[in-house]
Amino acid sequence: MDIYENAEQLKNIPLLSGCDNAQLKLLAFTSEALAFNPGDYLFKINDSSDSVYVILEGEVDVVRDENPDNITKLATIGKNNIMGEMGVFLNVPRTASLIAAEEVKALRIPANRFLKLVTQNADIALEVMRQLSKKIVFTSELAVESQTELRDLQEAQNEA
Amino acid sequence: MEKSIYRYILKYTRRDQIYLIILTALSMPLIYLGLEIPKLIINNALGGEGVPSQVLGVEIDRLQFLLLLCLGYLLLAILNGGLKYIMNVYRGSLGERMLRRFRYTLYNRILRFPLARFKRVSSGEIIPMITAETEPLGGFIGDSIALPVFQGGLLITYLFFIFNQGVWLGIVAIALFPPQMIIIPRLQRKVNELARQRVQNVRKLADHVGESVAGISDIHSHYTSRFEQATISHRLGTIYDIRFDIYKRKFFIKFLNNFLAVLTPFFFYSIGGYLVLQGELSLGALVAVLAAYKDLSSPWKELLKFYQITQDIKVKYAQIIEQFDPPNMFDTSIVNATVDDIEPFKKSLVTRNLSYKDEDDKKIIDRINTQIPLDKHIALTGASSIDTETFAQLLARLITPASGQVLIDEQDSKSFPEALVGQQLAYSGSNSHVFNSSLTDNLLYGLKHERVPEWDDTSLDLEEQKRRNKESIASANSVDDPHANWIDYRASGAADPEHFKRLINKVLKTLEIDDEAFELGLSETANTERHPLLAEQVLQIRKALSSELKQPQNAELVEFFDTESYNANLSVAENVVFGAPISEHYQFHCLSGNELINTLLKEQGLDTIFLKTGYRLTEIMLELFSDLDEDDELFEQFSFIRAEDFPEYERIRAEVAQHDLQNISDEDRKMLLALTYKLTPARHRLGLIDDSIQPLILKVRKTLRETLGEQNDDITFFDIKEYNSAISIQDNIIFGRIAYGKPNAQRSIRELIETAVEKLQFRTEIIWSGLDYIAGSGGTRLSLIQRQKIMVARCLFKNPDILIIDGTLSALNSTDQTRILENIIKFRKGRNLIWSLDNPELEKHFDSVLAVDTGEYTARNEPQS
Repeated sequence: MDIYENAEQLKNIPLLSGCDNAQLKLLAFTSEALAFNPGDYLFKINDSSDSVYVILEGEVDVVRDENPDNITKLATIGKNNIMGEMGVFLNVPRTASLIAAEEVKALRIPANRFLKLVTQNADIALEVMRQLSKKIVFTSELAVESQTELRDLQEAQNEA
Repeated sequence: MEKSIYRYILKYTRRDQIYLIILTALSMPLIYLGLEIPKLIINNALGGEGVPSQVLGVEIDRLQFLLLLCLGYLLLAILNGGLKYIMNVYRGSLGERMLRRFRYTLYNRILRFPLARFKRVSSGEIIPMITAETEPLGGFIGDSIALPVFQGGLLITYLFFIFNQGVWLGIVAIALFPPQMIIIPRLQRKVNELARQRVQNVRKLADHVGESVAGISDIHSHYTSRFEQATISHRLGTIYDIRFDIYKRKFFIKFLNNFLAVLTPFFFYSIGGYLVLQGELSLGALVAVLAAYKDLSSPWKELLKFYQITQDIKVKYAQIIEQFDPPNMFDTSIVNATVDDIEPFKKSLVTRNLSYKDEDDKKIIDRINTQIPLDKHIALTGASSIDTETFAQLLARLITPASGQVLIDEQDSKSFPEALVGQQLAYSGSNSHVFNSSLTDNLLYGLKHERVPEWDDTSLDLEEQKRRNKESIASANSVDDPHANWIDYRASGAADPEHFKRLINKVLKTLEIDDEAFELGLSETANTERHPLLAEQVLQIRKALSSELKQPQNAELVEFFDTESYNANLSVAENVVFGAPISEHYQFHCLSGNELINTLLKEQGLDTIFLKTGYRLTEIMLELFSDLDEDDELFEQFSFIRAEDFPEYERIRAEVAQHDLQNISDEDRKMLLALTYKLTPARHRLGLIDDSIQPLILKVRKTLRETLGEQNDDITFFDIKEYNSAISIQDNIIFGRIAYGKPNAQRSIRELIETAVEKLQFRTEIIWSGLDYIAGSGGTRLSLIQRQKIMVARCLFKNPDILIIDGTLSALNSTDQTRILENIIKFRKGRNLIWSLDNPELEKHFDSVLAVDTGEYTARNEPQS
């Protein structure tokens, strides 16, 4: 896969939809094209957040596995998604591990390069906000659901 | 040291100066004859007066007489020149020898400086004193006596000549000497004062430059460059002003000299002319006087110049030696004395009323009485780290107590020569240093006490050695050969070299340097001459690893160096050369100008293809990078074209667009080719260098190898059966390039190597090769942790009776620090260890804790007896 194909693929990524062709090509050229086998780590929880990953092919699992006895799979993410950007924005270590669920092709963009891209391009910045907002909505819904479940459980327990 | 330079010169060069004076005296009659013969030629041979009828019994006529005189004149000139040559060489060598002695003396005095001295003078100031400031002294020493004798002799000779012509003439000729001798020294005095100021200011300049170099990261990080520039500018300005003032005065003196030199002829012309006109003086006499005076003025001028130089040198000499004569220098008997029989320190280390005051007379250690057993491990604590450091340095005898004593085995340690203390006591502290040599040299530095004479392994042949020694002795320098083996394994307590090797491995393990050395060994090229086993071992590891790498789970980690196939993880240049370049014109960035390779490319029709590829790369790079700022870091990391070269490549693109790619200039062609050579298909993913081109490049590779031959001075080609000494050990082991895009390849490979090396038990050789790593100036190529470990390891190698570790290893985190401390405690079991701790947590590992402010003990591991 050469950088032209990479650039074409980057067009499909909502976050980068505000970039023109030349910018995408430069992004493809200056980021690392990586190939992962199933089970390979893209990054591990608590690693420093030094880059973001653009998933070009395959699916990855988001996993909390700091405790080997208690591994929780949080989500499975497919292609055309950007992963690991939250840690980069907040400058905190990875909050979860990212594991290739199948053969995965990804572009690794160094953190400072990604931040520059976001800060220099208003469209991208807006898209980032939109996606993060979506994540918040998703998480809030999850929280509401969890609370409901928890209440139901407690009630069931009380009745028992 | 001798207070005046003349005293110094007379002390060491009296004989040589006498020899020079004799030579000078010898040359005088020759010079006199040189004046006399032309007169004979003109007056006698040509004038026809007093032509002798025979010379040495042989009859001669006037012409023969003329020829004889001319021949004599020629002979005289040759003799004169020869003598001058001998004198110049002699003077030169004498000066250099004295300069060597002087510098050596100064260096020796630095070795005797009390430590406190270095708080006041920086190396930035000391270095130019020994190097630049002494330089003119050498030239002067050769001239110091011979020149005034020579020029003075010349002057007297001429004067004698003139006085022979007429007493009055002589008197007139020297009439203006006395006023010059009075005025000039007065003027010179001010120049001397300025010269003194100049020396001091140049030293401050050197000091400031040194400070800037040392503090360069602070200058950058705090944006203080403008301030530093202003400081330097001010300093340079001061030097300029002083110099300017010196010039004004110096040249005024010169002006005065020149003026006085013409004043005498003025009197000759006016008064002499008047007398001639009055008929009281003959014209011939006046002409003779003028001619004589002209000769006379040259040595006189030389003498005046010499006087000025002498004054300047005197100032410089005084300025140097006053810096090298600080109070409280170590006695020579302590620094330089050798000891034949070394009795180990056995009993105890005792301080008796030990006190120390710092430069400001502040008491730091105050009347401490304590006793430290030599078979125990003692931790030092104090109110501040200065207290413990001072106490430790007092014990190590690096500083001298203000009062009281440090007694080792009941003897005042003050009286011990360094030869004794330096072999039985080891100290490592915050100002311990890592030298700019290999890690081995640094680790074993503490064993280089004396040249081991029975190991006759000098690096020089006997003749050269004799010659060098003779010179060294003539300048009272050391005659030991520094390149011979100085590392005396016996000083480590090892019985034989094998035992010593085991000891080295043990110390490396104790400080956990072995892993780091292994890493270094892998990543650096190795000296296979020094480590003869290594090449064979690496080949075995390569073999073991290659089968491992062929396992399916590892299959894609490495792209091997296979002569027969194109390596997509190497650049085009690396694929063509396919080895490690040695000579300049096979360096990868020089290939575009390499004639042989250009011919080979042409043979395969690759010249056009490469050119087109280069042009295509130009287009791509211009497209990708032209929107970026020039200083964007992406340029440096990714662009094939440096930001500053962009306009050039844009020009090329425009030209090619108009004309044809074939018609561009040679320079432009080279620039395009250079881009092609940088291309690494796997990494750059530009779809260039496809399957149709690769076989052609392989043919170029093959022909190049055949043309140059396996053994050549240009390239060490890759060969699966051979060790390649121009690439690192790791590259030799994997014998390929780690594949691009395999995120964990690097780590997996390292693990595989570790396992293979462990299995074959070849770790030691790689570690030893890693120890060849050069530490850099002040150890800057190492981390602080590595430096600290080396300083402590250096002490362990000496197997000292007393081991004092002052705060070092502080850079380690507390877990590592504890573990290594435990290792050291185990290593020194039953032997003394004194450690000034900055972490009270660690106290529990010691037998007892000594408070340096009181001299009181607190027992830890076991009660203090």
